[in-house]
Amino acid sequence: MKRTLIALTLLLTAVLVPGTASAEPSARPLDTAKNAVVTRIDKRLDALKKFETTLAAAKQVQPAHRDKLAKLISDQRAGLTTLKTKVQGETTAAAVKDDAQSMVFDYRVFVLTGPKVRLTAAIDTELAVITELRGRPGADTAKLDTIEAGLKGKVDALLAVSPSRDGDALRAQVQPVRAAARSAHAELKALRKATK
Amino acid sequence: MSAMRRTIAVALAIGLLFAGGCSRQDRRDRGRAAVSTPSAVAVPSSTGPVPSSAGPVPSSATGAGSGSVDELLDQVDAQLSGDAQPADDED
Repeated sequence: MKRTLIALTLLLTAVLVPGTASAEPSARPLDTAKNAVVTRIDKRLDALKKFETTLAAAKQVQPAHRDKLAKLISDQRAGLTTLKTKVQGETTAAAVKDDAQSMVFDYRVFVLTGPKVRLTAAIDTELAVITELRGRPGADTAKLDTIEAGLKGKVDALLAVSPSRDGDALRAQVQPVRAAARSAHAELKALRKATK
Repeated sequence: MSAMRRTIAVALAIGLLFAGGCSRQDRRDRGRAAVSTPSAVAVPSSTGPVPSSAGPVPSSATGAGSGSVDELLDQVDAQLSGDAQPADDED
């Protein structure tokens, strides 16, 4: 009798426990992964919205640069929105991982797109400052020429950089443009004081 | 006979309590998983402080060439400050 009772208890445990503990066996980690990637895509979509606002506010951006940046933002928004839908429909962790990598490597929203917008705005505004300063009596034309030469071609070089897997290489390509913009800013501020 | 019934009842109660406990634990685990980053998928991540991706631009800024040197340099200041902010993600 005791043996029957032990067997009955074991049977109940075997039937009831797996039924409750392992419901939806693999769906939870996949859903969590999908949600994490979707959240990070949303961060990028929000950032693109901010870049768009920055670009609209930067009135000195040259038309050709503005067109390129507007297209870049628009294309990235469309691509990331499509990717978000794709992530939501994935059925394997491997596919979600591929999507996560695509979200980073194919767009580089933070490492590349953001600097493209902000530094283009800064450099084109600096070029407008140079034009303004040239019109002032007693302007240091030689100095302005040097500053302008330091900025020449920087925006076009920056806008030509494409997203890639190598984040450090991208940062290395952005850095000289950033340095040129900062240097020109400091020099133009000094010249403004001199011509006041 | 009544002793056997009692034993069966106790066994059933133990089984149900055990199953109930597992179910509660399962729900708790599910709640934790919903707020944590997944380990099943290696997502490149490095979340930093929330940035302002763009600095403010003075409302006095108007069409190209119409801003004064001071206003334009203030705009550059804001643009470069925005660029110096840490990004949402480092990638």
